[in-house]
Amino acid sequence: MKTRRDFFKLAGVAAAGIMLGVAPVISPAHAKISLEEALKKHLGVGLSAIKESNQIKIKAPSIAESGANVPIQVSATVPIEKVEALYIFVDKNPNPFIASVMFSPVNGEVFFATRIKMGATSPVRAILKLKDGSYLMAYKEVKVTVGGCG
Amino acid sequence: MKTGIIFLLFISFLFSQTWFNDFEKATEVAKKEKKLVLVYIYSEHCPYCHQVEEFVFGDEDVENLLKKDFVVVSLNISEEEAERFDPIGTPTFVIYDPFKKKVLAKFFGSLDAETFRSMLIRVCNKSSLRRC
Repeated sequence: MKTRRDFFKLAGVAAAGIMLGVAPVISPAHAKISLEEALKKHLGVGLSAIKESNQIKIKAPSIAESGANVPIQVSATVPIEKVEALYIFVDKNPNPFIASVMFSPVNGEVFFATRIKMGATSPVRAILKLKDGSYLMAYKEVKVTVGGCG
Repeated sequence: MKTGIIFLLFISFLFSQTWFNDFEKATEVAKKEKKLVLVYIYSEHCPYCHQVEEFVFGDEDVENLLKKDFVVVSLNISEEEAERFDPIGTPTFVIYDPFKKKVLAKFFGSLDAETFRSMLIRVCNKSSLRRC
Protein backbone atom coordinates (compact mmCIF):
# COMPACT_ATOMS: atom_id res chain seq x y z
CA MET A 1 0.00 0.00 0.00
CA LYS A 2 1.30 3.44 -0.89
CA THR A 3 1.51 5.79 2.06
CA ARG A 4 1.64 9.55 2.20
CA ARG A 5 5.32 9.17 3.05
CA ASP A 6 5.91 7.18 -0.17
CA PHE A 7 4.13 9.84 -2.17
CA PHE A 8 6.27 12.62 -0.71
CA LYS A 9 9.37 10.55 -1.42
CA LEU A 10 8.32 10.30 -5.10
CA ALA A 11 7.63 14.03 -5.19
CA GLY A 12 11.09 14.62 -3.70
CA VAL A 13 12.71 12.54 -6.45
CA ALA A 14 10.76 14.50 -9.06
CA ALA A 15 11.90 17.80 -7.54
CA ALA A 16 15.51 16.64 -7.46
CA GLY A 17 15.23 15.71 -11.14
CA ILE A 18 13.88 19.14 -12.02
CA MET A 19 16.64 20.92 -10.10
CA LEU A 20 19.25 18.84 -11.91
CA GLY A 21 17.63 19.69 -15.21
CA VAL A 22 16.52 16.09 -15.78
CA ALA A 23 12.88 15.59 -16.68
CA PRO A 24 11.47 12.99 -14.27
CA VAL A 25 9.59 10.10 -15.76
CA ILE A 26 6.10 10.05 -14.29
CA SER A 27 3.69 7.52 -15.79
CA PRO A 28 0.43 9.16 -16.81
CA ALA A 29 -2.72 7.74 -15.26
CA HIS A 30 -4.06 6.76 -18.67
CA ALA A 31 -0.99 4.87 -19.93
CA LYS A 32 -2.06 2.45 -22.68
CA ILE A 33 -1.86 -1.27 -22.09
CA SER A 34 -2.45 -4.09 -24.55
CA LEU A 35 -5.16 -6.73 -24.27
CA GLU A 36 -2.55 -9.37 -23.49
CA GLU A 37 -1.14 -7.26 -20.64
CA ALA A 38 -4.62 -6.57 -19.27
CA LEU A 39 -5.52 -10.28 -19.36
CA LYS A 40 -2.35 -11.22 -17.54
CA LYS A 41 -2.92 -8.50 -14.96
CA HIS A 42 -6.52 -9.41 -14.17
CA LEU A 43 -6.71 -13.13 -14.98
CA GLY A 44 -3.12 -14.22 -14.73
CA VAL A 45 -3.27 -15.91 -18.16
CA GLY A 46 -2.87 -14.82 -21.77
CA LEU A 47 -5.39 -15.03 -24.62
CA SER A 48 -4.01 -18.38 -25.85
CA ALA A 49 -5.01 -20.01 -22.53
CA ILE A 50 -8.67 -19.02 -22.92
CA LYS A 51 -11.02 -21.34 -24.79
CA GLU A 52 -13.77 -19.96 -27.02
CA SER A 53 -17.22 -21.25 -26.11
CA ASN A 54 -20.70 -21.02 -27.57
CA GLN A 55 -22.11 -21.36 -24.05
CA ILE A 56 -21.59 -17.61 -23.62
CA LYS A 57 -23.75 -15.10 -25.51
CA ILE A 58 -22.98 -11.42 -25.94
CA LYS A 59 -25.77 -9.12 -27.00
CA ALA A 60 -24.36 -5.83 -28.26
CA PRO A 61 -25.02 -3.60 -31.27
CA SER A 62 -22.97 -4.45 -34.36
CA ILE A 63 -22.79 -0.73 -35.04
CA ALA A 64 -22.81 1.53 -31.99
CA GLU A 65 -24.15 5.02 -32.54
CA SER A 66 -21.55 6.44 -30.18
CA GLY A 67 -18.68 4.85 -28.29
CA ALA A 68 -19.59 6.92 -25.24
CA ASN A 69 -22.47 4.62 -24.32
CA VAL A 70 -22.62 1.09 -25.73
CA PRO A 71 -25.20 -1.29 -24.21
CA ILE A 72 -24.00 -4.87 -23.75
CA GLN A 73 -25.61 -7.94 -22.24
CA VAL A 74 -23.80 -11.17 -21.33
CA SER A 75 -25.52 -14.44 -20.54
CA ALA A 76 -24.26 -18.03 -20.31
CA THR A 77 -25.70 -21.51 -20.11
CA VAL A 78 -22.85 -22.73 -17.91
CA PRO A 79 -24.32 -23.90 -14.55
CA ILE A 80 -23.89 -21.12 -12.00
CA GLU A 81 -22.33 -23.53 -9.47
CA LYS A 82 -19.36 -23.89 -11.80
CA VAL A 83 -18.84 -20.16 -12.36
CA GLU A 84 -16.64 -17.92 -10.25
CA ALA A 85 -16.56 -14.63 -12.15
CA LEU A 86 -17.23 -12.81 -15.41
CA TYR A 87 -14.70 -10.42 -16.94
CA ILE A 88 -15.35 -7.98 -19.76
CA PHE A 89 -12.61 -6.57 -21.98
CA VAL A 90 -12.54 -4.25 -25.02
CA ASP A 91 -9.43 -4.96 -27.10
CA LYS A 92 -8.82 -1.46 -28.49
CA ASN A 93 -9.56 0.63 -25.41
CA PRO A 94 -6.49 2.33 -23.87
CA ASN A 95 -7.15 0.10 -20.88
CA PRO A 96 -8.98 -2.98 -22.22
CA PHE A 97 -10.29 -4.06 -18.79
CA ILE A 98 -13.91 -2.98 -18.36
CA ALA A 99 -15.45 -4.93 -15.48
CA SER A 100 -15.33 -8.01 -13.30
CA VAL A 101 -18.46 -9.52 -11.75
CA MET A 102 -18.32 -12.23 -9.07
CA PHE A 103 -21.05 -14.88 -9.13
CA SER A 104 -22.41 -17.22 -6.47
CA PRO A 105 -25.17 -19.89 -6.70
CA VAL A 106 -27.72 -17.41 -5.32
CA ASN A 107 -27.44 -15.49 -8.59
CA GLY A 108 -29.30 -18.34 -10.26
CA GLU A 109 -27.74 -17.85 -13.70
CA VAL A 110 -24.98 -15.96 -15.46
CA PHE A 111 -26.53 -12.71 -16.62
CA PHE A 112 -25.04 -9.24 -16.63
CA ALA A 113 -26.04 -6.11 -18.56
CA THR A 114 -24.36 -2.73 -18.54
CA ARG A 115 -23.25 0.17 -20.71
CA ILE A 116 -19.62 0.57 -21.62
CA LYS A 117 -17.35 3.14 -23.25
CA MET A 118 -15.45 2.27 -26.41
CA GLY A 119 -12.74 4.39 -27.99
CA ALA A 120 -12.79 2.69 -31.40
CA THR A 121 -14.20 -0.26 -33.34
CA SER A 122 -13.12 -3.35 -31.44
CA PRO A 123 -14.06 -6.82 -30.26
CA VAL A 124 -15.88 -6.90 -26.92
CA ARG A 125 -14.88 -10.00 -24.94
CA ALA A 126 -16.78 -11.76 -22.15
CA ILE A 127 -14.62 -14.22 -20.22
CA LEU A 128 -15.95 -16.61 -17.60
CA LYS A 129 -13.63 -17.85 -14.90
CA LEU A 130 -14.79 -21.28 -13.77
CA LYS A 131 -14.25 -22.72 -10.31
CA ASP A 132 -11.88 -25.37 -11.71
CA GLY A 133 -9.54 -22.54 -12.76
CA SER A 134 -10.28 -22.70 -16.50
CA TYR A 135 -11.58 -19.87 -18.67
CA LEU A 136 -14.28 -19.67 -21.37
CA MET A 137 -14.69 -16.76 -23.75
CA ALA A 138 -17.00 -15.27 -26.36
CA TYR A 139 -16.52 -12.07 -28.30
CA LYS A 140 -18.43 -9.76 -30.59
CA GLU A 141 -17.09 -7.07 -32.90
CA VAL A 142 -18.72 -3.70 -32.24
CA LYS A 143 -18.21 -0.92 -34.78
CA VAL A 144 -17.98 2.55 -33.30
CA THR A 145 -19.16 5.15 -35.77
CA VAL A 146 -17.82 8.65 -36.07
CA GLY A 147 -20.33 11.43 -35.77
CA GLY A 148 -21.37 14.62 -34.14
CA CYS A 149 -24.31 16.52 -32.76
CA GLY A 150 -25.96 19.12 -34.96
CA MET B 1 2.31 19.94 5.85
CA LYS B 2 1.77 23.40 4.31
CA THR B 3 5.09 23.20 2.46
CA GLY B 4 4.10 19.75 1.18
CA ILE B 5 0.84 21.05 -0.27
CA ILE B 6 2.56 24.01 -1.95
CA PHE B 7 5.16 21.63 -3.33
CA LEU B 8 2.49 19.27 -4.71
CA LEU B 9 0.70 22.21 -6.35
CA PHE B 10 4.00 23.23 -7.94
CA ILE B 11 4.57 19.68 -9.26
CA SER B 12 1.04 19.37 -10.64
CA PHE B 13 1.44 22.80 -12.30
CA LEU B 14 4.62 21.63 -14.02
CA PHE B 15 3.05 18.50 -15.42
CA SER B 16 -0.42 19.73 -16.26
CA GLN B 17 -1.66 20.92 -19.61
CA THR B 18 -3.37 24.27 -19.34
CA TRP B 19 -6.64 24.58 -21.18
CA PHE B 20 -8.18 27.96 -21.72
CA ASN B 21 -11.74 29.07 -22.14
CA ASP B 22 -10.81 32.50 -23.45
CA PHE B 23 -9.67 32.55 -27.08
CA GLU B 24 -7.80 35.88 -26.87
CA LYS B 25 -5.84 34.80 -23.82
CA ALA B 26 -5.03 31.45 -25.44
CA THR B 27 -3.77 33.28 -28.56
CA GLU B 28 -1.48 35.49 -26.48
CA VAL B 29 -0.01 32.46 -24.72
CA ALA B 30 0.37 30.58 -28.01
CA LYS B 31 2.31 33.50 -29.53
CA LYS B 32 4.56 33.71 -26.52
CA GLU B 33 5.21 29.96 -26.53
CA LYS B 34 5.39 29.72 -30.37
CA LYS B 35 2.51 27.25 -30.55
CA LEU B 36 -0.70 26.87 -32.53
CA VAL B 37 -4.15 27.25 -31.00
CA LEU B 38 -6.54 24.31 -31.02
CA VAL B 39 -10.11 25.39 -30.41
CA TYR B 40 -12.38 22.59 -29.21
CA ILE B 41 -16.08 23.44 -29.49
CA TYR B 42 -18.28 21.12 -27.45
CA SER B 43 -21.74 20.79 -26.00
CA GLU B 44 -22.51 19.23 -22.64
CA HIS B 45 -25.04 16.69 -23.82
CA CYS B 46 -23.30 15.44 -26.96
CA PRO B 47 -22.13 11.83 -26.51
CA TYR B 48 -19.56 12.26 -29.31
CA CYS B 49 -17.89 15.03 -27.27
CA HIS B 50 -17.74 12.71 -24.26
CA GLN B 51 -16.13 10.06 -26.43
CA VAL B 52 -13.54 12.54 -27.73
CA GLU B 53 -12.78 13.86 -24.24
CA GLU B 54 -12.22 10.38 -22.87
CA PHE B 55 -10.50 8.55 -25.71
CA VAL B 56 -8.91 11.27 -27.84
CA PHE B 57 -7.84 13.98 -25.39
CA GLY B 58 -7.14 11.18 -22.89
CA ASP B 59 -4.75 9.44 -25.27
CA GLU B 60 -1.12 9.62 -24.20
CA ASP B 61 0.27 10.44 -27.68
CA VAL B 62 -2.37 13.09 -28.37
CA GLU B 63 -1.76 14.65 -24.96
CA ASN B 64 1.99 14.81 -25.56
CA LEU B 65 1.51 16.42 -28.98
CA LEU B 66 -0.91 18.99 -27.55
CA LYS B 67 1.48 19.82 -24.72
CA LYS B 68 4.36 20.28 -27.15
CA ASP B 69 2.81 22.26 -29.98
CA PHE B 70 -0.65 23.55 -29.07
CA VAL B 71 -2.51 25.78 -26.69
CA VAL B 72 -5.99 24.37 -26.30
CA VAL B 73 -9.07 26.48 -25.79
CA SER B 74 -12.41 24.80 -25.13
CA LEU B 75 -15.60 26.70 -25.90
CA ASN B 76 -19.17 25.67 -25.27
CA ILE B 77 -21.14 25.97 -28.52
CA SER B 78 -23.68 28.16 -26.71
CA GLU B 79 -20.99 30.75 -25.91
CA GLU B 80 -20.79 33.85 -28.08
CA GLU B 81 -17.07 33.33 -28.55
CA ALA B 82 -17.69 29.99 -30.30
CA GLU B 83 -19.86 31.66 -32.97
CA ARG B 84 -16.87 33.37 -34.58
CA PHE B 85 -15.77 29.92 -35.83
CA ASP B 86 -19.20 29.17 -37.31
CA PRO B 87 -19.42 25.58 -35.99
CA ILE B 88 -21.73 23.13 -37.77
CA GLY B 89 -22.21 21.21 -34.54
CA THR B 90 -20.16 19.48 -31.88
CA PRO B 91 -17.45 18.41 -31.52
CA THR B 92 -15.79 20.95 -33.84
CA PHE B 93 -12.03 21.44 -33.89
CA VAL B 94 -10.38 24.59 -35.23
CA ILE B 95 -6.65 24.98 -35.68
CA TYR B 96 -5.63 28.63 -35.60
CA ASP B 97 -2.26 30.12 -36.44
CA PRO B 98 -1.73 33.06 -34.03
CA PHE B 99 1.17 34.45 -36.11
CA LYS B 100 -0.64 34.57 -39.45
CA LYS B 101 -3.90 35.26 -37.62
CA LYS B 102 -5.84 32.76 -39.69
CA VAL B 103 -7.75 29.50 -39.36
CA LEU B 104 -5.64 26.70 -40.83
CA ALA B 105 -8.21 23.92 -40.56
CA LYS B 106 -11.64 23.19 -39.19
CA PHE B 107 -13.13 19.74 -38.79
CA PHE B 108 -16.35 18.46 -37.35
CA GLY B 109 -17.22 15.16 -35.65
CA SER B 110 -15.69 12.55 -33.42
CA LEU B 111 -12.72 10.52 -34.59
CA ASP B 112 -10.26 8.10 -33.11
CA ALA B 113 -7.08 9.21 -31.35
CA GLU B 114 -4.67 8.14 -34.11
CA THR B 115 -6.60 9.91 -36.89
CA PHE B 116 -6.92 13.05 -34.74
CA ARG B 117 -3.20 13.06 -34.01
CA SER B 118 -2.22 12.64 -37.67
CA MET B 119 -4.59 15.45 -38.66
CA LEU B 120 -3.02 17.77 -36.08
CA ILE B 121 0.49 16.88 -37.32
CA ARG B 122 -0.49 17.39 -40.97
CA VAL B 123 -1.99 20.82 -40.31
CA CYS B 124 0.84 21.80 -37.96
CA ASN B 125 3.47 20.97 -40.58
CA LYS B 126 1.77 23.34 -43.02
CA SER B 127 1.72 26.15 -40.46
CA SER B 128 4.30 28.81 -39.73
CA LEU B 129 5.70 26.53 -37.01
CA ARG B 130 6.54 23.54 -39.25
CA ARG B 131 7.98 21.50 -36.43
CA CYS B 132 5.32 19.01 -35.35
